Amino acid sequence: MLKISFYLNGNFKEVNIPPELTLLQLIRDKLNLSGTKESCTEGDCGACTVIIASKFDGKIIYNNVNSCIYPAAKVHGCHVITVEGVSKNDGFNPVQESLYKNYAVQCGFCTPGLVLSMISFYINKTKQNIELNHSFLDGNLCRCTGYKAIKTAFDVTTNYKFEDLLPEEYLSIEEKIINFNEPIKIFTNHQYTDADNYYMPLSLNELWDIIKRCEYNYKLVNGATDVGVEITIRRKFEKNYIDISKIPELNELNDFEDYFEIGGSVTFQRLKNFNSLISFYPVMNEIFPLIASQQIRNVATIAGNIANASPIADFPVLLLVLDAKIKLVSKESERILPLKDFYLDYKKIDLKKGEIIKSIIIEKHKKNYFVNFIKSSKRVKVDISTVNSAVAFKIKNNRFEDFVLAYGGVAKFVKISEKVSNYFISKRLEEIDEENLNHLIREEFQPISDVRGSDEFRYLLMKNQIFSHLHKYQNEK
Amino acid sequence: MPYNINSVAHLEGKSQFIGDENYISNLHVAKCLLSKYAHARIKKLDYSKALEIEGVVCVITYKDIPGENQIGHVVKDEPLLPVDEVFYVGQPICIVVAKSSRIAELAISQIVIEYEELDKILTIDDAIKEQSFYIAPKVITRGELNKSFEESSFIIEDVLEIGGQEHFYMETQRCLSYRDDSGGIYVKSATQSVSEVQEVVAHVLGLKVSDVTVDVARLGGAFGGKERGATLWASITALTAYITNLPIRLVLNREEDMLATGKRHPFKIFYKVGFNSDGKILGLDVKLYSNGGYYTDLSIPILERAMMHIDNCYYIPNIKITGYACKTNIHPNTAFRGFGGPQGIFTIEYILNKIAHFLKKQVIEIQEHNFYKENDITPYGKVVEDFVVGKYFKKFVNSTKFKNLVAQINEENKHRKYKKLGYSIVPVKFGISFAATLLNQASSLVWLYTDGSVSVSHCGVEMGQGLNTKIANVVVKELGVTLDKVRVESTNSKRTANTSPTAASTGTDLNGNAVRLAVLQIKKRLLKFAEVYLKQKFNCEISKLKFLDNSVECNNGKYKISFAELVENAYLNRIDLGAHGFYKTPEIYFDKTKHQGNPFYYFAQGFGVSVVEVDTLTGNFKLKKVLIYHDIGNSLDLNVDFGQISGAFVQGMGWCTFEEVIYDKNGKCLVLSPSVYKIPTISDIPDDFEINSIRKKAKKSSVLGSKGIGEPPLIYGLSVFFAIKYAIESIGNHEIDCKLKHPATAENVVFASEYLRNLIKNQLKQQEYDEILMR
Repeated sequence: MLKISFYLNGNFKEVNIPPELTLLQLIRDKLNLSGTKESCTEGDCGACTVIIASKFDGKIIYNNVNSCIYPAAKVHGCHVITVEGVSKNDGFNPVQESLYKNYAVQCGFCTPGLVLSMISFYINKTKQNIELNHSFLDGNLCRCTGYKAIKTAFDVTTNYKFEDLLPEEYLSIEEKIINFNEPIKIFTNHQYTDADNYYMPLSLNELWDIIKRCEYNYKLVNGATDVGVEITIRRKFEKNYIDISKIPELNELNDFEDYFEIGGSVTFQRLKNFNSLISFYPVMNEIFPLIASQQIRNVATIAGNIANASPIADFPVLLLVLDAKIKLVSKESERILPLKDFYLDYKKIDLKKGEIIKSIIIEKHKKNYFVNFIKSSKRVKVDISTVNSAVAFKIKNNRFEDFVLAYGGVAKFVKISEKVSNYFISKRLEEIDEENLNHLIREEFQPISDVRGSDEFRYLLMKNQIFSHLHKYQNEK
Repeated sequence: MPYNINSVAHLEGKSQFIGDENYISNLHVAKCLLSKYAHARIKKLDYSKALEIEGVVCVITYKDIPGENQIGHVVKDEPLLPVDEVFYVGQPICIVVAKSSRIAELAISQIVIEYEELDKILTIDDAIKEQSFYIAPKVITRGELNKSFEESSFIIEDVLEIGGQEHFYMETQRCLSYRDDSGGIYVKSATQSVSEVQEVVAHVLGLKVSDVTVDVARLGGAFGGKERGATLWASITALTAYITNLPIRLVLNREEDMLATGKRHPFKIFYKVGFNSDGKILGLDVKLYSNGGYYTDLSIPILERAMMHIDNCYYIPNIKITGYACKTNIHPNTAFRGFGGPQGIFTIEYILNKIAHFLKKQVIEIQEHNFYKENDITPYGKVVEDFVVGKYFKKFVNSTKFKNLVAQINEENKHRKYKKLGYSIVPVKFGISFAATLLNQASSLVWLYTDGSVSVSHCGVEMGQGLNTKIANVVVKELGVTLDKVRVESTNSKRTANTSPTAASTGTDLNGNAVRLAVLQIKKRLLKFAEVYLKQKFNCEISKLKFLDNSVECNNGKYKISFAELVENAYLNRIDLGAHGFYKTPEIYFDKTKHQGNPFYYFAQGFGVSVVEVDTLTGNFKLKKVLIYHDIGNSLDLNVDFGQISGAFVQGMGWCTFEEVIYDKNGKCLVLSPSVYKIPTISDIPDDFEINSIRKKAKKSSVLGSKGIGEPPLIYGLSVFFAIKYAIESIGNHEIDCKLKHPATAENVVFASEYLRNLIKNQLKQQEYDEILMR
C-alpha cells in the first residue's frame, strides 16, 4: 500500500491506496466525487478528464489528463481539479456559462470532462504555445451534440485570467505544491493488492537503487498511457512499478550544435513546444496533431512511444528517416544505438537488464532535406494508423539522393524500407514507376490483415503514400 | 431566455447517473460470465472455486429464477439466462454477486466452463443459404411489376450491402436494484422502455407488475440501444437483488457492452429496377435481408420501417418490397436511431445514383424526376400530403448559390490530382409515429403547488434529446409561468404507467400532448376560479383573463396578481390542482397482414447537402461544408431541435464513413473499444455547418405546432457517403461508377479510387474490366 498526499479541488488529502489504483477510481470510489465519469477506461473518450497541476522546472503546469488510465500514485504532491471544483462561488465559470448558453450539453455524460478540457485550454493558452483550434478537444468524444454547439461555445480566441476560470484560492496552492517535498510512503498491511509497489525516484542514482531493490522485476512507468491500459483493460499487473517521470536528468531538452537531445521523460506536449526543433524540422508541426489527443500528449513520452515497440507507432517512423539514435544507460554502462537497430522483433527491443532510454538524439544533418510524414487511419484524429510512412531525401542534379523511407503498420516493428529507399537513389522523379514500386514493396513486406485494414489495403497504402510524399514535394518545390 | 433545463446540473457534475450512488451502504455488484462461443452446448459449469473467494456472495444461474426464464416482450423467445445452450458471443450465462467489481472479476475467472461447439450461422449469406429467417417474409406490393419491366427502356439488377453501427452511448448499459419493504422491488434502470422493464422484471421474479417500481432519472445517451437493450441487464440486476436481498448495481464496462449488446442491423439488398431514358423509375423489385442476430428483439418492426422507407421521396408506380429478417448467431441486433429507415433510404438513393451513372446524368435530375407529387400514395397506402421537401429541393438546386457551388467543385477537380472534391444532396421523408399503432399513446401527471411551481411526470425518458426542456416549454406556454417554475420529474412507473418506449421520434409528440391535456384541465379550473377571485378582490367585471410571466392579468393588464397567489387561493378554496392527461395519436391505423394503412401521423421532411475533400491516395476525407434544410415546424425550443439535427447528422455521417462493425470468423465482435471503433470527433465536423428551418408552420404537426425531430436528420448523413463517391468518381470524369462500398472507410475509398485509376490506365470499358476482376 502507498500513502500519498495531494490537493483535490483546493483541499489537502492524504490517502492510502493500492499501487494499481487509477486516479478515476480514487476520486470516484474512494473520495466519492462522482461528477467525473467513466466511459471507456482506456484513455480514448475523455469522459474522465480532470486537470492536474504539477511542479515542473520550478513552475506549476496545468494539464488535462485522462484520469481513467492515470495511476493515482502519480498525483502525489499535485493539485487535482475535477468538475466539482470549478464552479465560482456556486456560480458558473465562463466555460460552463458558454456551454450552457449555446446548448452544448445534451445527455451530460461527456460534459464534466469537456468542461475540464476547455478550462485547461484557456489556462494554457496564455501560459504556453498550444494549438489554437478546436482540435484541442479531439480527445473528448461526444455522441449527442455532433459538436456543432460545442464548437460555438468553445471560442478559442477568448482570453481568460486564471481567476476567471477557477476559484482564486487555487493560486495559493501553487506555492504549496512547489514547496512540497514529501516522498510517497510505501507500507504493508494485510489488504490484498494486485501490485506491490509504486516507486517514484527523483534522481538517476535513486533509480539505480530501486532497480536493484526490485531485483530487476519491475515495469518502468512514465506517462502511463500504455501501462494504464494494461491495468484497466488487459488486467495485467506488475509487482513493481517505477515511475521515472520526475527524474530531472531525463527531462532535459537540448539544442546542441550538431544535434538535438530529447530526454527520456520528455512528453509530446513539451517537444511540441521545443521551438528550435520545430523550426529546424517543420514536419514536426504536422505530425503532432496527428498523434493521440491533447490528454495523451500531455503525459505520453517520446521514449515511451519508442520502447513500447508498437509496430504502428507514428513518431518512431519519422525518427527512423531522420537517422535518430537513442542513448541507453544503466548504472554500469552507457551506449548509443541507431534507432533502427533497437527493434529486434515483434514487441522485442534491445534493452538490457537495468537499462533505460536516457535520451533520443536527432542529428541536424538533414536540415535541407525534404522530410514528410503521412498516416492513413480510419479516423483522421486520435486514431492508430493502418499504415504510416515517413520520407527524407534531397535532390541533386534532378536526382534523388540519400533517400530514406520508413513504414509503420506493415511489419513486426517500424522499419526502413531498404528496397524502396535504394530504388530511389540516383533516379529522376520521372523515372519512378508504379509497377516497380509495387513489386519491391511486395518483395520486402508481408503485412497482415486486422481490424485496421486488410493486407491488400496495406499494400495499396504503401504504394500510394510514396506518391503522396512525392506529390507534396512537387507542390512545395 | 430559453435554456435546457437539465444542463445546469450536468455542467456542475451534479446530475446523478446510475453508477454515481456513493450514498448507498452495502452496495454490491453483479457481473456476468459471457459466452465465448457463437453457438455451443454448455457441457459443464462449475463455479465452486468462485464461491471460495472472499467477498463473493453467490453465483446465480437460470435455476435460481423464481418466475419464468423469459424476457421477450413482444415476441417471447429470449430466455434471461440460457439453460444449456448459448447462441451468441457475449450472451450472459451466469451472474456473480460480489462486494466489488474486482472481486467479481476474479470470481468469473475461477468459473470452470466447458463448451461443445455447434454449427453456427453468422452472416446474411449464411442465413439465406440455410433459410434461417424470423417469421415468413414481409411483402409490400402494388402495381404490375412484370409489365413495368417490359415497358422500361432499361433494367439494372444489382446487390448492395449496408453496414451495422455501434450505438456508443457514452454511458454503458447499467442498472441498480433493491427490494423494498413490502414484497416488491425497486429498479433504477438506464432504459428507454420503463414499462417493458417493469413487466419483464415482474415476469422473471414471479411478482405482480404493481410490485415492481421502475425509475429512470436520465440516460447518458441511448440512440435506441436502450429501447430493448436495457431489459436484459435490468432483469439480471433485479434478479440478483431479489435473491440476495442486497442492493445490487450492474454496470457494463465498455468491452462487455460492445461485445454483448445488439447494434444497428446490417442489410443486404437485391434489387431489379426498370426505368426510362429520363430516369423515371417504372418498376422496382427489391428484397431486403437484415441480420437480426439471435432472438427476435425489434428486428421485425425495424425491417418493416426499412421497407416503408424504400420509397423515400419518390413515387414508384410498380413495386414489390420483400423483407426477410435473418436469424443468426450474433448478438440480437436492435433499435438504432432511424430504426431501419436509414437503411431503406440508403437503398433507394444508391439505386438513383446507379441510374444516374447508367444514363450519364446528374443524380439531382433523377431525384427530381421521381419526386412524389401532392396526394400521391405510398406503396403502403398512405397519402403523401404537404410534400414540402419537393418544392424546397427544387428551389435550392436551381439557386445560384448551389449552381456556383457545383461549378466550383467541378472546376477545382480539374486541377487536383489526388485530393478530390465531391458533393451530394439527400432529401428525406420520414414517417413519424410508431408503426405499431397501439404504442402511440402516453399519459402524464401534473401537480401545481401553492407557490405556483409545477411538477410534471410523463412517460418519456430524458436521454439527452432535450425532451424535458420541450415538455417544460409546453407547460410554460399554457400556464404562462417561467421555465424555472417547472420541474420535470424522473420517469417512474408509479407516476405514469403503461408507457411506450421513448423512441420513434415521438417522445415530445406523445408526452407533450399528454402533459398539455393535463395542464389544460388544471388551467380550466384555475380560469374559472380566477374570475371569481379577481372579481372579489378588485371588485370589477372581469375580461381578457390571461396567464403571463408568472402572473394573472385581466382587463388589458389593469389588474394583476401573481400566479402563486392565484394557486394558493385556489387551494384554500379546495380547487383540484392536479390532473392526469392521456393522449393517443389520431387518424393512424395499419393492417399488419396487408401492410396497408396510415401508419404515420405525418412526415418529417427536409434535405441535407455535404461537400467533402477526399484524399484518394490515403482514403481519408475532410468534410468541408454541411447545409441542412429541415421542416422543424413551430419548435418548442429551436436550439434543442438544432442540437438534435447536428447530433443526428454527425451520427449518420459516422455510420456511412469510418464507423465499421467487424466480426471474426467465429462471430465475435472485434470492435470492443473506442481505440478501434471510431465515432466522429470535433475535428470531423466543418466550420461551415449550417442548419435552416424550412418553415414555422407545417400543415400537419403535433403538440403546439412542433414536429418530431430525433431520427430523420440522421439520414442527411448519407450525403457524406454520396459526396465521397462523387469525389472519387471525378477521377473518371463521373462517367464510371466507382462502386464505393458502405461504409466509406479509408479502405473502401482507396479500393474504389484504385479501381477507377486502373480501369482508366488500362483503357478498358467498365464491364470488360469487371469481368477481368471476376476471373
